[in-house]
Amino acid sequence: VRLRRGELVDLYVEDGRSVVMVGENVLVLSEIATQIVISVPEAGATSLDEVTTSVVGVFGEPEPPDTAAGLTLQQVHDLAAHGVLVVEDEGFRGSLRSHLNPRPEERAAAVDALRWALRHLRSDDSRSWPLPTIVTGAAFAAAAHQHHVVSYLAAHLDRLDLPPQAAAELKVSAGRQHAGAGMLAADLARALDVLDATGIRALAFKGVALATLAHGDFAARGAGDLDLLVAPDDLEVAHAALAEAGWAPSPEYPAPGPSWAWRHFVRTGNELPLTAPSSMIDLHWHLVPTRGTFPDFDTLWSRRVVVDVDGQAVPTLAAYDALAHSAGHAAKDRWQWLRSLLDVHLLASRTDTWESADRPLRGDQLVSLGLAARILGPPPATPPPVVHEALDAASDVWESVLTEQASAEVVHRVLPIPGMNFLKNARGVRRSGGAPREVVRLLSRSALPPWLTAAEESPHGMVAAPRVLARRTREMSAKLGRR
Amino acid sequence: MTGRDVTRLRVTAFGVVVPIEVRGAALGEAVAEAWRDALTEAEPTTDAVVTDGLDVAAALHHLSPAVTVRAIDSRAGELVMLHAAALADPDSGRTAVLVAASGTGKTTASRTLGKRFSYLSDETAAIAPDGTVLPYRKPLSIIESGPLKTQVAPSSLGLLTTDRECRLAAVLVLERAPDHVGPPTLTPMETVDAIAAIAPQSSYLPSTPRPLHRLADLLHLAGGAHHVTYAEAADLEDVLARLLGAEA
Repeated sequence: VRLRRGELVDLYVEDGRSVVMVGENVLVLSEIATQIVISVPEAGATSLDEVTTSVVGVFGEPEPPDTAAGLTLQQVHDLAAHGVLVVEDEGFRGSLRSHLNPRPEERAAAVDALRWALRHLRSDDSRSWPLPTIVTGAAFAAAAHQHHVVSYLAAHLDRLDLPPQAAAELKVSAGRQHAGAGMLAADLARALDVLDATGIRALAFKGVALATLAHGDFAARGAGDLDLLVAPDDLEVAHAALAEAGWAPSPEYPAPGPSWAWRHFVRTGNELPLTAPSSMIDLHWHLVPTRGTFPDFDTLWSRRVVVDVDGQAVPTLAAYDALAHSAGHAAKDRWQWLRSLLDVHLLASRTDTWESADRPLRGDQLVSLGLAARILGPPPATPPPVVHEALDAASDVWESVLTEQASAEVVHRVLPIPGMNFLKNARGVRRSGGAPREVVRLLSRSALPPWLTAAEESPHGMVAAPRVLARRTREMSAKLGRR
Repeated sequence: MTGRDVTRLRVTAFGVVVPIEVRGAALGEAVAEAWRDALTEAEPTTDAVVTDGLDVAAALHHLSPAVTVRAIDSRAGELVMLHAAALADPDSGRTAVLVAASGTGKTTASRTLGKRFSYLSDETAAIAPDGTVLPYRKPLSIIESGPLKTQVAPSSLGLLTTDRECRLAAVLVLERAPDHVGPPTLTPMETVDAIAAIAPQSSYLPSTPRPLHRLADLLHLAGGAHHVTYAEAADLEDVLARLLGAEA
């Protein structure tokens, strides 16, 4: 194993300890870590043996059963995870890669361990949960990444007994996610300011707003997009204000205006993306694709709560509305990600969630709650009859969910057979209790999708729709031909 | 809009002269009032910041960070610029820099302590290599009502200002703990820990040559940094007085 320094901006040593800057991150190094880094030359590489000799020369041999080589290697792992050192050994890097891409049975064991770790963290047990010996720290960290719970685990490392390298990897990744979430929070504040200055009411949901509501920490769910919900009547003004503020509309979607394409899109869709250099906003005018399965905007707004997202007051869904939405979202993803079920569990564990309950959960939402209760333990604030009903509802899908959670495949993919997305979405309408007319709306959207209508400027459906339908027919024929 | 509705102002922010072009007569008056302590006749050193809009509060709200960013961009790699309040002893110019993350008490501390010590900034403490702390007398962002903070000139709040040269004499890393009982707890920090605490509260630090050494030099110049746990900003007055050598 050969070691060289990472891309260090600066290294400052004083009294045996040091502080190092890598990119924009600043880390304090222990005396041993400092000795390791300064024994690696600024230019060129050195061997792990030479570094170990240098460390022993300063600190002496460790007490058995520890070995100097073993302890030095452990520190090197930690420093490499932070980018302070680079390990130049193909075999070593290969072993790291195999940990990051474990075999199916290793992955299944790691995901199972992750479920138990999360269950422990959601319990009152203050003891430290030990990682089963069958699971390596790297496989556990990989499972945490796969299920998007890195930041949550990193915030509770004091209750997890993990190998140091895995703990370091989670901490570093969580630090990066925290920085990303901070940028998102700043952009969310700016977007809300922009809309507020235009007189538009907007609810933030998912992402940093949900993280704050459910976890009490805006960075606890990592970083992603921003989701904003406005009243359908405010959509065009909101779109214009955000575009003016730097969030560019995608050319694949119709532009607001008098065109039939825009009217068709608003009638059949529920969200559109707007992109700025540092964030993407999904601007929604309905909370979910299926109309009528959620209260309308005015009702959601009247029930809103305000959360403090990194110092900014942000209006978001009431706890029960957030629970229902998160539970529906988990179902849409076929309960593949533990983060979604953790969201459900956290929200269902709040007393105020059930105090604001004004309607029963839908069938698919109950399944999510049942899975969360079965995996993470019964949520303490949820009324027992609801828990029992939810556990019953989840029993049919339990085995398949466990299998899917252990899979590394992503469920959401473009289906290559024309019409399959429509059938999949139609099943979603049935699952979420949508009205039959919703299927008609989906069919209309599937036949005349936004990416084929975007360029149509005619205000008349009689003019634009046949042209789009012709393009759609050619597209479907081409796809079938390729098959 | 007629040419007469455009107000052109120049403000100074740690030595950078930023022109501001304000569109709209009412907004022009509001900007001139809020920024009156930072106005200068000196020649601009950056491009203009343009502001307009019918909503005066919103325009002022967005103007302040725009000017700050323009000034910071201009001195990246040259000055150490910390997210910090800076307050100086009016007689000696000895200056305390109070480092804290956004939303954790810098403005409140500046409002409270600026009646006894000269206000240099509540937002960005810009420090030259020789320890000179350059003033940025921007309006303070005050929460009154509604979602936007109100922008108020330091002198309107009765804060002291000074034109004398100010030199770094103390670095405090603030931790406000509302349930803290008694006088503030002052703990000396080792240099590496102080650098790790302060570096994340800086702008463009990686652009500075050997940035950690630069921070260490400043900390040594100030006699090291202190971590301060306190409940109310007023409790810090005696701490500053002691560290800056002023009479309590």
